[in-house]
Amino acid sequence: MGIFMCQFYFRQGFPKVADIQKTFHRITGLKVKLYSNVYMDELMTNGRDLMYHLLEKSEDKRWDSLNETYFACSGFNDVYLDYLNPANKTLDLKYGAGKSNTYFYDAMMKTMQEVGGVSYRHPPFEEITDDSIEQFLEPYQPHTPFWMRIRKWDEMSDFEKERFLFNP
Amino acid sequence: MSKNNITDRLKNFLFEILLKEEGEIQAEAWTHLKMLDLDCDDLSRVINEIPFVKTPYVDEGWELFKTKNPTKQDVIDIVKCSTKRREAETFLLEHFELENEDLVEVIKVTENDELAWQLLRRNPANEELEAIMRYTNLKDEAAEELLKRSPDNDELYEIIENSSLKLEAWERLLQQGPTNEDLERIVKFTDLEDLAWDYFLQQHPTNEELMDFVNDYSETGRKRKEAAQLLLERELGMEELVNLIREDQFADEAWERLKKKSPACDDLFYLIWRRTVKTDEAAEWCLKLNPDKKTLWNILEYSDKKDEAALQLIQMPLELYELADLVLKSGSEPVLNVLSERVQFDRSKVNEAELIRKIAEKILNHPELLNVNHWHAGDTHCLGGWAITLHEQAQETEKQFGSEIAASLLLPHYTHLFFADRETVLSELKEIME
Amino acid sequence: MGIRGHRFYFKQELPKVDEIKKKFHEITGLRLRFYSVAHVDELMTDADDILYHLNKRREETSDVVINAPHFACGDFEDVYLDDYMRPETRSFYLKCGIGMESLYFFDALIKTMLEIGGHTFRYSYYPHEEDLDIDNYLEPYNPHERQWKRIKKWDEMCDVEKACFKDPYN
Repeated sequence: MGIFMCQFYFRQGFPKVADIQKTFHRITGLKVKLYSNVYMDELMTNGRDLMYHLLEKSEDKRWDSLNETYFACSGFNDVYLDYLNPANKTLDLKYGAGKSNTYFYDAMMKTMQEVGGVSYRHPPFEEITDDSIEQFLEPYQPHTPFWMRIRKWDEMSDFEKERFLFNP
Repeated sequence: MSKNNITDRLKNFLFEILLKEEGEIQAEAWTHLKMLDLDCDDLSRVINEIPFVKTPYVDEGWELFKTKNPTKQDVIDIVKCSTKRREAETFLLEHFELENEDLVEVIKVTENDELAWQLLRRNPANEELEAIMRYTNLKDEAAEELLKRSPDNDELYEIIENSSLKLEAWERLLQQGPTNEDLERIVKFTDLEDLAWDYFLQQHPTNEELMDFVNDYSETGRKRKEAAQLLLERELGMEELVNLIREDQFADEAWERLKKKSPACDDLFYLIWRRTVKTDEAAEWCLKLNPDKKTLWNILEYSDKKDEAALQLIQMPLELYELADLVLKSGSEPVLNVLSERVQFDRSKVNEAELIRKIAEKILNHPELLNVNHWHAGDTHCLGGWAITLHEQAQETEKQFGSEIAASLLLPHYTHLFFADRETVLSELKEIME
Repeated sequence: MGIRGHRFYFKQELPKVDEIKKKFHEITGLRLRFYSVAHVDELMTDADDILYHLNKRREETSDVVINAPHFACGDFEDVYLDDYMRPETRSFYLKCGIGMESLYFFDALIKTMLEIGGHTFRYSYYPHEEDLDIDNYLEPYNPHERQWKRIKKWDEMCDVEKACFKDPYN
């Protein structure tokens, strides 16, 4: 299974999750939440116990326990946040290419751009700075068909929804 | 939303260590905590038992607690939640003026007669008298005081339940007019069972009120039969008759009356599903009514009318996994024929008697080859697993349609042994060989 | 939607998740994961950052920042560890929604717990230890019974056997 991936650069620094949620809701009419999975090696349910257990673990184990952060939207497959680097203000969004419906992923990409992110294609392993990134940025053109077709989920016809079904 | 300062955050973290760790780490956390100027709230966390969690520093925490000018409520909280209950109670009495409501809070936990006396001398409110009756030995004293004050029905019930002044309270209740609900709880939970029952009957209880005794949710069993008998003297609906049968109260008579009402399958579903004394009769009744699939599965699962239900089920469109279920519950010829046709298995070449003897011989000579917990596990198999292993065509059927179908087609008369324990399987195999 | 649940009691201590995973794999051939979900309100991916942030938020606001511990396996619907689990009682409750595509995962997880020393516990609440003769509330585990014996390795079952796990409420 392949992976869809899109890289974003935020000139003004990362947006707040609340801003992302607001913009996503404006675009899609749906709710999005940011989660991180906490893998556990003890049976427990109490939030305080869980937190204590995590704090108590060694750094290595913590990394094992808390290594996936993702956006979730009911009824769609999760979209993962990856390689987030506060130093150069970049992050990646990832999505399993075998997942059939790309609406959520596409809408997340649109959201990121509407909250100040710019997508870019940077050669791997090269340092990113405010200056060096310029030539790799891809302008956001919301009037193009790809972005225009992302409308509120409940306002789209079945035909329009079907266009997001990915057929590898 | 108040932001905690760094000391509070440190305290919180150390408390978690104190509660969750043991031994040296716990002792170290306690040493660090004591350096952080603990107040009464903090120390309560050390002294009080959070359900099932108790720190080993209760004594030390209590001594420290006393030096921190605790408020009255701080100490009452210790009385309510800690093994330091007695010490905290003494401290409370020595250091504070207690209001009536404080005394009640303490009495509820410590059941202290001394405090109850103090409370009684202070013209307590009615609900405070009720607490004395419920939690201490001064029941009659509190009841006597309460009777002087025109108690309501609930308060009279408390007197009847808790004190020896019950007859006086009972007379008073009769003057005030008890509800049927009042009488029901007196019958169920107090010594005045018969008195209250007679009065209850004079008040013309509804069917629903009588059925409460039959259902006996409180599990006292009181007046159950009597209520059922009275109900049968009345006109009853279908649900009420079903309920009497379910509770096994005069079930024969209830069933006869139910039949006269010509119940439909849905009316009897519950009777079958709950395996009542009339499950088989109800199943037989339903089978005559051209039942739907749901009813037939219910009959198949819970009654003895399995073959009859199976016969009707195979007339309906069934998935293969449903047929697997069916054949395990009824290995009748028509079912086997439908199944073998669906999976294209030629049963004519199977000699069941010969096969079971062959398996029996093998297993009885080498009991270690029988593994009842798995169809196949290496060289061991269960009875059904062995049948498949010894039959080449069935192995193909197993691959395509599963072990249950393949084994059922080979040994339809032994399906009950596919899921039996080891002893049962061995003993039946011995019988076969004899 | 209703809930389907199963309560367990362990006479010794509760099993470790690793032990559960190992036994589950032995029974089903599948990989089991156990995790909770943390609610993150800043964009971050570094484990230490997330942990510090969550802990700070919990201390400052008493928010429930991590919850919903659940078992997950491939495409099967998740099975949740009930909120009311208290390790001190050595009992817990597994639950899932009724009307699932397949009950295989839920049933296999129950079988796993029973195979590693758990007992089916028939009690709707946990009474005080001294009021409870625990053996009166434990059901025996009979692995030869159909409901347990039909749980084979997922990849070794045919379609008909897999279909047997169809949830009757679906």
